[in-house]
Amino acid sequence: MKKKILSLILALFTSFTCALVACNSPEEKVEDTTTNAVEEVKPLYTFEEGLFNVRMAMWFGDIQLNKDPKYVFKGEKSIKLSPTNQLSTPYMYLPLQSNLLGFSYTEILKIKSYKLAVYAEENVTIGLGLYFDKRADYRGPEQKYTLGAGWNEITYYPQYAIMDMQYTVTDCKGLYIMFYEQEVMPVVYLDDVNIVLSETTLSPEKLMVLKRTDTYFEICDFENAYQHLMTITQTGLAKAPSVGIVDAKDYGITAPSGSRVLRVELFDKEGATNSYSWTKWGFVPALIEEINFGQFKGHLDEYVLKFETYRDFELTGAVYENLVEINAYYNGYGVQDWAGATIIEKGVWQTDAIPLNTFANFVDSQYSFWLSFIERGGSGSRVYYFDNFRIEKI
Amino acid sequence: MKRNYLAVLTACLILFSCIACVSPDNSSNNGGSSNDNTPIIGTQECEIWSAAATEKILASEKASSYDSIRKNSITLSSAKNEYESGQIVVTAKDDLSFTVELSDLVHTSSNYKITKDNFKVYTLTYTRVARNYYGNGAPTGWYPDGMLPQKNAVEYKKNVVKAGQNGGAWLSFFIPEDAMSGNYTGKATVTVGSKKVDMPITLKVYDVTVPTESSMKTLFGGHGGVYQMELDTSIEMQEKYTQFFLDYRVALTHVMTHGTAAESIVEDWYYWHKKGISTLGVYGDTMENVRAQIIGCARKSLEINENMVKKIAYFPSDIDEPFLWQNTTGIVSGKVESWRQTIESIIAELEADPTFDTKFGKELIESVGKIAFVVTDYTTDAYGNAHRYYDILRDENGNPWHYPDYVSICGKPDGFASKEEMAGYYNGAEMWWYNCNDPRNPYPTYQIDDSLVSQNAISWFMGEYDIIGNLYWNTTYHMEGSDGGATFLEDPYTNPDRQSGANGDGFLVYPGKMYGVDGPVATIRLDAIRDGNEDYELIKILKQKYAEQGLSANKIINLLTKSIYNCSVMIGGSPEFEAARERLLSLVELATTEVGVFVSDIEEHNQDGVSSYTLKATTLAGTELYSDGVKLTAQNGVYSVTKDLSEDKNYFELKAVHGNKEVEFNFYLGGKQLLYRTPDTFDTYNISGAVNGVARIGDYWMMNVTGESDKFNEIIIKHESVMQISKNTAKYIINLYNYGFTDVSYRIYVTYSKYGKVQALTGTLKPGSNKLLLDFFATANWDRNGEVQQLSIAVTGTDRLGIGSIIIYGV
Repeated sequence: MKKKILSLILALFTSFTCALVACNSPEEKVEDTTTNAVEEVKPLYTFEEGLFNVRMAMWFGDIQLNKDPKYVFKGEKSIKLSPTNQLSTPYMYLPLQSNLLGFSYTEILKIKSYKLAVYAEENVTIGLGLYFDKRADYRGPEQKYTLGAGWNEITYYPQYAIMDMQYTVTDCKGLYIMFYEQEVMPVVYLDDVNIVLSETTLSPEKLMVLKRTDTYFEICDFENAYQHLMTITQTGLAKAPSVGIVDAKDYGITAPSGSRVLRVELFDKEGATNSYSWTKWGFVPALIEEINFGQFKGHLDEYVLKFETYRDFELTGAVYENLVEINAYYNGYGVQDWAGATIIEKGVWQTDAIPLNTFANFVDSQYSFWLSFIERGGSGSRVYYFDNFRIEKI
Repeated sequence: MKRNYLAVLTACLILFSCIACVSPDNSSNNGGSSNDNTPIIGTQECEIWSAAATEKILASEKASSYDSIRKNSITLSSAKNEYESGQIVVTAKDDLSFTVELSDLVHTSSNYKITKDNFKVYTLTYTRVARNYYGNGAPTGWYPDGMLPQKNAVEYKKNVVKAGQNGGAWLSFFIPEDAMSGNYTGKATVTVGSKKVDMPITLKVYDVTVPTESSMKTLFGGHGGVYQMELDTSIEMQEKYTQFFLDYRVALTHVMTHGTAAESIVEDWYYWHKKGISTLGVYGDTMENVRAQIIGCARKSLEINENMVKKIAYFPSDIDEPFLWQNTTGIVSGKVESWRQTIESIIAELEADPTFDTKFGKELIESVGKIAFVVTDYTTDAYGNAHRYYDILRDENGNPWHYPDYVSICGKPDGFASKEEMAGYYNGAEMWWYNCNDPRNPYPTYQIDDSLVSQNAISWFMGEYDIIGNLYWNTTYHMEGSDGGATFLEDPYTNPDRQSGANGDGFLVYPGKMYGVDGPVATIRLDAIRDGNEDYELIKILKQKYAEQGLSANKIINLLTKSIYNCSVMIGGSPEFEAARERLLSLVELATTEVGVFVSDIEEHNQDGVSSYTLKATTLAGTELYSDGVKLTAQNGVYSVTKDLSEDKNYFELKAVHGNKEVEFNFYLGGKQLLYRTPDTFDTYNISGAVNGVARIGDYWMMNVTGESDKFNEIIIKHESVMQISKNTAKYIINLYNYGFTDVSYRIYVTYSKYGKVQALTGTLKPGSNKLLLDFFATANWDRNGEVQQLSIAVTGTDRLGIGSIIIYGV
């Protein structure tokens, strides 16, 4: 099983970057040779009706309807995407349901692939992925595509098994397209977005394995590379935090156990002062589901959630500006419990413990779990390390 | 239910007449209507008609529901440098699409024209009200709200009207500042398929100019998510929104686009100050940042020699609506104290700065001391805390705490429902009020199922009662759900419910991008707000001009508005509002042009129960004043004209002449008054119920009241006057006598033919004579209720009650 996971992760981080040959003839169709199964192509967004239901993240930049035939792949209209590199990773998204456009694709595991046409003036790398809540805050790992100049026809095959480690795949709400930060952000045109339906429903293989004893329940020990998939980030007005599993000794520190830890780098909020906004990282809903907080119901007083923390910078500003808050979202993405706050020690590993009865609402309707930080201006980057999230019996 | 709505919202053309107040007046400049036997313009495919721009014509209502307000022309009255609106409705027999083109408007006595490039045509979009939250009995259905530029509507096929439905075009006319006063004509050409139909337009431009820069302060909030819905998060798009609202005479709470640092905010303030914004909203939730903004603004003001500080207002959102909190201990008082210390420290710093040691510098410092600190709460004085949902305000020690006089206690309209309640807000600080998903009927709101008259009246009320600032929580909220789970509405245009329990609450514009508009799309509610804000300026001008003559305009303004609202309770509809506005324009023209006429009062006299009215006015030297064509003579500088209510319709009609300048003014007093003197025989009252004996004593018949003295014992009256009560009845006054030495509690019941018996009034009768005023008939729901069959007076605690004469105004 472990080999299988590793091979999947390897695929995720290496071969998912696809170089596409520029395809200047819109009429030319890409043959899907990956399977002989009967498939049906359904139009999703043609943009002939306009920009209905096209969505974008805060600070994405600009999306315009295009009628210039040069940038239209099929029909009379396409959309022009002009992302910026302001603050956070720019992404836009296309829901799988639309009342205005009259479609609703809810059988996610029948969608074998997504086909779309993207025009670029020059080589540019974009990412495609699926998202799992209505605002696309919860996104699966993206697959990178390097586009050539001209029209590029892309077929994106979602890796449902990987996504299943993060989310309930059938919760998928649509497709997102993201851009990577670079000095001059690209302008691309998007047209003719289709889904390819399979006759049969796909069934992703369950890959997640958590260590458990009678008194110890692993959440995440960060010793395995695939556990990178267990974390997600969100941001307010600053760049999203950089989160990655690292070898502790590479940063001159000793891991509290094993050798690897989670490194979280927070960035400055440019130009803004004295207004509260939050950046955060968290654990994906699928991990929370796998842990199954509900199993502790009725015995919450007997358990504690523990993790190790380490700070690698000097504190500045007021105490409250350096708090790390722990938030548990339950009942879908709608409601959160504030589970506590801590000031993390500098230069030493500190163990934080939160009684599980703090999560009384959460255990009934668990969703996701976050550590939140006030975004600061003028404080430079701030680096924290985390390790060994687990639940222990007292 | 539908007919109920029409009774309230469209406020039937023949609604009530009332004493010394402006009422719909068929002789006024209202244009043709279906009632004057001129047919609505029609084709084989549709009917084409118009209605006042204070009317909401639902797509889903039958056109015949609007018969009483349908017109076949567009009639407008306007000051200069302001916008006025009209509307055209197309009722489709089969599915169709339509467009409207406007002509120039040509002056009737010269070649001058207001060119059509000053006008815009919008296609109305409709939103589905599934539940009437406002509580005024308005129907559910498809309400007009969005004003989509016509060319975009055509491109996106939004100018389509389904068979049996109404589709509307909203026409916006800008009257340039240099336009000639006088009358204009023009036309609107409606194209349906290959057919073109003309509808005439008439416009009267008064010799009155609305100032370009608003003096009303506004802090209207915005939700940043709208930029995601616009698919454009650029600074340019944010500026478009701020400019858009400024064009509608509204300042957004935060105009900053270049960051939240104090230096950036001050630079953005300066940018928008130069563009004429009325209000600069403080940003920030730390007092350090607030302080830096104010000091920065003072220094910038000194640098440019223009007082930006007086435009600043601070709404501390962290103590928003304390009356909703479960525990306010120390929080509100702490914030208020923090504000006081901040302002004092700013003043101290500026006073110590020699660059402020000038006359203008001192003016700036004085302005700092007057910056509005706006707390959304009701006054404890007005409500005695009864209105609070939870606890009273308490200081850090837990002791009851009241706002100091430097706080602008910003209540909602339901806190201004009586003079006594209003008094609590006049504490010397700048007056503010606000609106959101609450209050409800009968108070004015920005909600979709409320009327456009309400949305105008909010500004009128502010002008009349010197409320300087208007706060509104959100203009661009297009989310559903709450907190972290809130998501964008796919189609904000058709869903008015943002889950705040009020239709239209939280948004006054729609994102334009989905229909190809580069920026926001206005609503007719925002259009009405602009109309009201323009009128606010006229009311302020009127007050100023009267004050310059040592006079007060308050009385005459109140005479205009009392048919629209009573304190903050809405009572009038479109006809009352349109008539009042016409008079406002006349009064401002009289006061501001060379004729210089100041109508200071219209007094009511009562002689033996019969009313008459005396208009009093003064003029500048050289002005002649005529009434009904007869030249008047002033006594001690005051002109006086008296009228009674003997005609079916009764008016003051004045003309002022100064050289070649003539200005006319008419004021509708109301319909005929009927007096029923105390009858010679008791039977005339047609009384039944708890009465077992009577005797005539002076002007009253004394009745023995039967029943248990601790119960309400009911006396039923079916007097001839009761049968005269109609929707035209502005007042019904019955004289009663309490023969005891203590107050007697009473209840008034009205029995309607369809709706049955309702309790309409309660109160106490003082010992001696009492006039019982019933003034709710004009705004009653007549379609639902049916005719009045009887009145009942139920009293408790007395066995004697006298009944005398009865007066009815408007039959």
